Amino acid sequence: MSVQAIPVRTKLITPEDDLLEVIAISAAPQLRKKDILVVAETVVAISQGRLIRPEKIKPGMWALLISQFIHQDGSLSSPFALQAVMDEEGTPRTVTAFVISTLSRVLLRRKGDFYRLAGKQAALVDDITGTVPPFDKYIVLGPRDPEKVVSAIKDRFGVEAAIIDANDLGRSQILAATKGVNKKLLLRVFKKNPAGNADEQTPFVILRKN
Amino acid sequence: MGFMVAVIACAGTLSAALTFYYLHLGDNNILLETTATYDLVVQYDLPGREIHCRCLIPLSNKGKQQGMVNNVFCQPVYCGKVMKKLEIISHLHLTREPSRENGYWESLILKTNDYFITELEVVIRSQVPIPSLLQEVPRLTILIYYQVVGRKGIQWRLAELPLPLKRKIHPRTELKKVKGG
Repeated sequence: MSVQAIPVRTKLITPEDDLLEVIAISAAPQLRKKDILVVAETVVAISQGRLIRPEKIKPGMWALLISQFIHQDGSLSSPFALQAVMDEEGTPRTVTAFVISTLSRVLLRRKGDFYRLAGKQAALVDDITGTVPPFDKYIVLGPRDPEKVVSAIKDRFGVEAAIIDANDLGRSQILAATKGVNKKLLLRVFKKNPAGNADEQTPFVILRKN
Repeated sequence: MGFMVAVIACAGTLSAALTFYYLHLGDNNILLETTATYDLVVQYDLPGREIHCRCLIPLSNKGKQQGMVNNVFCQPVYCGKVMKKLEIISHLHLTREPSRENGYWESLILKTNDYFITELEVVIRSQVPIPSLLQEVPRLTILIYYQVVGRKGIQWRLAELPLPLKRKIHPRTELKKVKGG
C-alpha cells in the first residue's frame, strides 16, 4: 500500500489568522474521506501568537550560563530562546534538567537528556532565523494544546489529523495525533519532509492511501 | 563549621570555574567591513535625474562564537539644502539572494570564521539636474545600522560608508575567500 503526500500551499499564516479557517479555504476542498491532514507545528504556534521578539526578553543568569553549554546549532544556545523556554517551563525544571543531563553525559555518556527533561518547549522552540520571514525576527515557541487543535480539525473536517515537527534532517516528532493516525506511517512519510523546510509555504500535507 | 567552609569553598570554586569558562568562550565578532568595500559602480540616468550606485561589502565573523544578523537599516547622510530635493533609497542584501524591493533583510547566521558578501544598492532621485547635483553633492555617506544577536546579548553596530558619486570605479581589494557570491 502506497501513500501519497500532497503538500498544500497557503497564504502566509499570521497570529491574526484562525487556523481552522485557513484549513477550510486551502486544504478542505482537496480533502477526501480517510485522508490524514498533517499540520506543521510552527504554523500552529504562529496562529496562536506564540512569538516573542528577542529584544523583549532579558536573559537571566541561568539562561546566560546554561546556553553556553549547548551546541551552537541548537536553538537553545541562544540565551534569549532559552530564557523564553524557562519562562514557559520554569527555571527550576531547566536548571535541574541541565544538572542531570550534565551528569548523565559525563558519567553515562548519554546525550539528549536535557531536551528530554527540560520540557516540551525545549525541543520545539525555534530561535530567530528559524522560521520564514517575517517571523525570522522572532523566537517561535511550540504550540499550546496541540491535542485540542487536532481534535478540532477532526470535528470540523471529518478527517484524521496530526501536528508534526519535521525538518530536512529526517528527525520528525509528532506532537499530537487523532486516534486513527498510524504514527509509524506518518514518521516514515515525513522522513523526507514533503512539506519542505525553507520558504515553500506548504504548512499542510494531505496523506492519502492509494 | 567545617562543613560550611567546605560548601562555601566548593561553591566558590565552581563559580570561578564557570566564570572562567564563560569568559573563555568569547563572543562573536560580526563586522560589516566597509573598509574592504569593492566593485563600486555609479551609473547616471541624466534624463530621469537618477543616480544608481552599488558596491560589495564583506560581512564577516572573526569571533569565537557564532552570531546572527537580525536587522539591518541603511540611512543616507548629507548636510545641505539640496537634501530636501533628493529621494534616496538604500538597502543591503546578500549577493547570493535577489534583492527584495522592500529592502527586507532576512535574519542570517554567521558561524565562526564565516563570511558573506553583501551588496549595497543606492538609488538617488533628484529634482535638480544631475551635473548640478554632483557639484553640490560629490559624496554621500551611508550609515548602516545592523543588529547582532549572539550568546552574550544583542548589540547594535554601526558601519559608515562614504560613497563617492563622481567616481565610476573604486579600486578592488583582494579577498582571500569569496562566499555567497
